Amino acid sequence: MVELPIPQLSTYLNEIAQGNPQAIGQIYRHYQIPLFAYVRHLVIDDSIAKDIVHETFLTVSQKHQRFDIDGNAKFSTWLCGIAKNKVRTLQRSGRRFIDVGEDFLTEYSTDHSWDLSRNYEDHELSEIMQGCIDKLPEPQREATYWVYYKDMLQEDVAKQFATSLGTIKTRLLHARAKIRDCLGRLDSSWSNKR
Amino acid sequence: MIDASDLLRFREELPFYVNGTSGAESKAFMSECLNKQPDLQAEVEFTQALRSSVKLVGANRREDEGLDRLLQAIEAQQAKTFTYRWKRFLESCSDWGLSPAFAAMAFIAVVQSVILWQSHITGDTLTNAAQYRSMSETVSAADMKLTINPDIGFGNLVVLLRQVGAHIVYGPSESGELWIALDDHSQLKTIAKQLRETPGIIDVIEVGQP
Repeated sequence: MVELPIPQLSTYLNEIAQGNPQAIGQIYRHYQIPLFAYVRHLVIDDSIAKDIVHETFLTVSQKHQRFDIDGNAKFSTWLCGIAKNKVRTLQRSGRRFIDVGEDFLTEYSTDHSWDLSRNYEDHELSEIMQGCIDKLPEPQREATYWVYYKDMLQEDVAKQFATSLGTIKTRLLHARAKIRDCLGRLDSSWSNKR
Repeated sequence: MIDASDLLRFREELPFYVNGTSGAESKAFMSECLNKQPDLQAEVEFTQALRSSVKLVGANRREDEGLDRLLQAIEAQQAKTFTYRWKRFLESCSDWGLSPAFAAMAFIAVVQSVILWQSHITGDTLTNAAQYRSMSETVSAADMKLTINPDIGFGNLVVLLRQVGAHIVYGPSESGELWIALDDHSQLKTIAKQLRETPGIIDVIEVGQP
């Protein structure tokens, strides 16, 4: 995702401060889809993800002055931070939150081939892979977002999680293996039915 | 074939090779691995498919999807703030062709009116009592006019009027006249006679409206 240029973003934030609703609309149009993708990797439920995105931009409209326009943080990262806090609040409240068990796919087979993707049409594969990603533990889902959606550098991902590079690499390694295992199971099941 | 440690490194660096953020050294390493073990290309393609799938999350959403809901929520919140109400007031004044200075004066006048009204409706007991005393009262019709001897004390006059069932409805005038009404009008002649015989009452005249 391309960030809005700082002068343009600064203008929009100033206009929000003056109560111009069109400015928040401009920011929303630019950032809401990638933010939705991020939240969707955290909560694996479309309707909850939409609500979190809504709440996040509502917070931006009220607390836009908290973003340090001259600082090093990217605006999209700041948005994701707000959204993640809202997800955490939702998780603590125990309401409307769906998550898979952490133990799902913790034991995975390495017997499956890597060329499973050839068995599906592109759109089928995307849907199936997304279903498999949903079954990953949250840290692996989130790492998947930063690396494959945001195309982030490995050092930046580690910084984002405030953890070591090794931990990130391990999360991604396990995530990819589990997705392959998930696809392999579906493929076996499909082959048996045939 | 590559050894186990190189295979592990290949797999750890693969996500960043696929997302295009690998450094030159890492890229060279990955290319070398792929040359030595071509079947690793399947892992690269799998990871590319994974990246493509992740990038499709939310891709079917319109860029302004949910924006109307957001703007309505913001509008509802702003409507609760003083700043927003003030801004709307100024905009309304502008729409009516009024200058900001006039708008400010009008606003101050409104605020002052509200303050005065508040003090009016929330006065303390003494204030309320004073307001009650100063209220005008409809003057009922008088039955008779009394000319009072200036020597009669006010207390004696009050006792006398209560005894005959009368109350003052007008006066005293400069010449010491009082207009009184009777509780029981049928006793007018009797009471008039009684008052004429009372010391301190110089004259009694039966009258209508003062």
